[in-house]
Amino acid sequence: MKELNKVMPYLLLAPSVVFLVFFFFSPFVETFFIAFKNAEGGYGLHSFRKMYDDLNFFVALKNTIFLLFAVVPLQLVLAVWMSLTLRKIKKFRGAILYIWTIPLGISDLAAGIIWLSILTERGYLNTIFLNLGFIEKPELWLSYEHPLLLFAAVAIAEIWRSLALVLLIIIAGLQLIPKEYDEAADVFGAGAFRKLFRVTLPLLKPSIQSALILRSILALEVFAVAVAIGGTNLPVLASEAYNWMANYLDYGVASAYALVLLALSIISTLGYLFFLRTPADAA
Amino acid sequence: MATIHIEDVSKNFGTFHALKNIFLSAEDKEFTALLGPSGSGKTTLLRTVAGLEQASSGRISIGAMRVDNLAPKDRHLAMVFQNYAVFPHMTVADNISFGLKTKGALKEYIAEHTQRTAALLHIEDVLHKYPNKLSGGQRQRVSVARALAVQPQVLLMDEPLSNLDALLRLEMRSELKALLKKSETTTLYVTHDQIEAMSMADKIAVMNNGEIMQYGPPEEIYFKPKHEFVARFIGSPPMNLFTVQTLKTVNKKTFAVINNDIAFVIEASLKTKIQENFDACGVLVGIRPEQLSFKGSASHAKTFADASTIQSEVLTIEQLGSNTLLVLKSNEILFRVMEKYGIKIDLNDRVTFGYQPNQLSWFGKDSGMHIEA
Repeated sequence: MKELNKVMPYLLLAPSVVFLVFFFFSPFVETFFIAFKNAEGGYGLHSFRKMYDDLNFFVALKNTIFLLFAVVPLQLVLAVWMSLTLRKIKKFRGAILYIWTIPLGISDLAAGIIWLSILTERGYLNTIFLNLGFIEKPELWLSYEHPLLLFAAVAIAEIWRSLALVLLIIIAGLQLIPKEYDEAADVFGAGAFRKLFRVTLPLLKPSIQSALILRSILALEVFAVAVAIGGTNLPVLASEAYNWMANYLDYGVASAYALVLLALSIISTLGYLFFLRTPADAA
Repeated sequence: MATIHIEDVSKNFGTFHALKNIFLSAEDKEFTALLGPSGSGKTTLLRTVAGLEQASSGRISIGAMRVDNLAPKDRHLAMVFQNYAVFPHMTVADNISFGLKTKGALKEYIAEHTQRTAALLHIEDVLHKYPNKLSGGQRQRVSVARALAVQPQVLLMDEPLSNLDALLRLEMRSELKALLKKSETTTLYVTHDQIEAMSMADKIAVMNNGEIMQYGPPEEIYFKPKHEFVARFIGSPPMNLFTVQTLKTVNKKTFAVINNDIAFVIEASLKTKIQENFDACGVLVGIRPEQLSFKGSASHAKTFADASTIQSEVLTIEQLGSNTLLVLKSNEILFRVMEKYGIKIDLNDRVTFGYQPNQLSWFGKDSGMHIEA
């Protein structure tokens, strides 16, 4: 019985470990090998060279990183602002939170299609603008002629789609902060600004860190929304990886893209871990 | 450094009346303890003075300034929280100087004053540390230092010692008392610990169900409870209270008869008032356990001529170190007597106790109000 008790936790964990080894770890290692494999069967940087020389690579890299910088900071600010506001109100708090988190239940492709239906030539936006007389004829918002508009449309759709995730992490984090800190700040004369930057945000740092890490990794992987709204006009790293795999059938370059994404994710995560660290003795 | 005037303050949470028409005036430099059981409204009253709760009605003034419509930060007060609320992400020095910084004090002043306040609380060695590296007692000191550093008009303390262990609490208690005496800060101090209140406060406000039952110096609260609740709440063990069954006059002396063995003589000056109350709704008589004194074993033939003694049987004996607590039983009535250690007494002994008639407290049975001459 005692023996069984010792083994039991491992037995219970085993299925998930097996699952991860087969469906996560092994494809991951394989991707690594595919990326470095030459056509002749040897190993080298052949695929990376090919990726680097591709016209779309730097465009995709630029788009992905710009999206990251456009989406994630704004989401964080919005989420902090929304959760602080939500804390202040008493009535309908639950209802408002449910409405705010609806996008969490929508797949990213569906989200992309929703925004496509708004912004397309015969979409809701054009209909409204036409009826209000802002425009003479339906405008083609999402075309390569308006790269900035296209970028903005994808950014807005991304912000809308995944804000709820950040919001939930921040709200959960705020709830963990005892209200006495807030009250102490009030009593000792801190104004709203000082209270936010000297008390609330520093105490919220662990939650902000998790939210930023999660959201940045997901933002780097942006795919369905960019494809649904931008088509081929707004290439991102993930859509390029998909292109090379599905259309050019070059698994090597696709894997190289995947590894670039991995590297960016690791860099951003390490960055957050370092810059938002809690001093060792304050932990 | 200022008076506190609380006039007719009420606070409702929905239909719940947390505070009911509270009046309280604390003098300058005075230490006032708000004492009561949990749910009595003492913390709500403190938080209302702090501005962390809005009073539903009434006025609160600090010094000459009416503050009940001001934000907490404009009330010139400081607060020590029950769970310290010392900011975990700031060093001890930053915590202590937090209030000074928000007030925009000069850098040199902040540094010097932080140092001085820390020395006052014996935490000058941990100024650079973060709170989670400190013990509970040290954190409490940081919390007090943060409050004293701003030299507030009024200091509010919400059960500041309740999270400390017994020995530390005793030490902190006397230290705090000396410190507050020296700083001459008007203090409101919430506690459920009557010994804390009795030992530290200049005045105690005993609260129950959102009302102040009695407000006065500790001795007055202890020896002259104005209400049955205060009599029952203050003192450990609390006052013995007996329901008077009949009033009987023998040899020109009037007695409040509890049962065959127990009767208390009524002072002449109180006779009429007690008679009136007894006729209206009944009377309770109270005496503190240490005010009953052991007179030796009883003769069975007790007469009312022996005016100032009562008799009963010893039910339990508890040795409490320097004192001995006796629980006595007379018919179905239980009461307690506190005696010095070393009295010769055994279980089931039938014994006689003496008392001073002027130490008896009389209360109306329904109103609970003290009966005065």
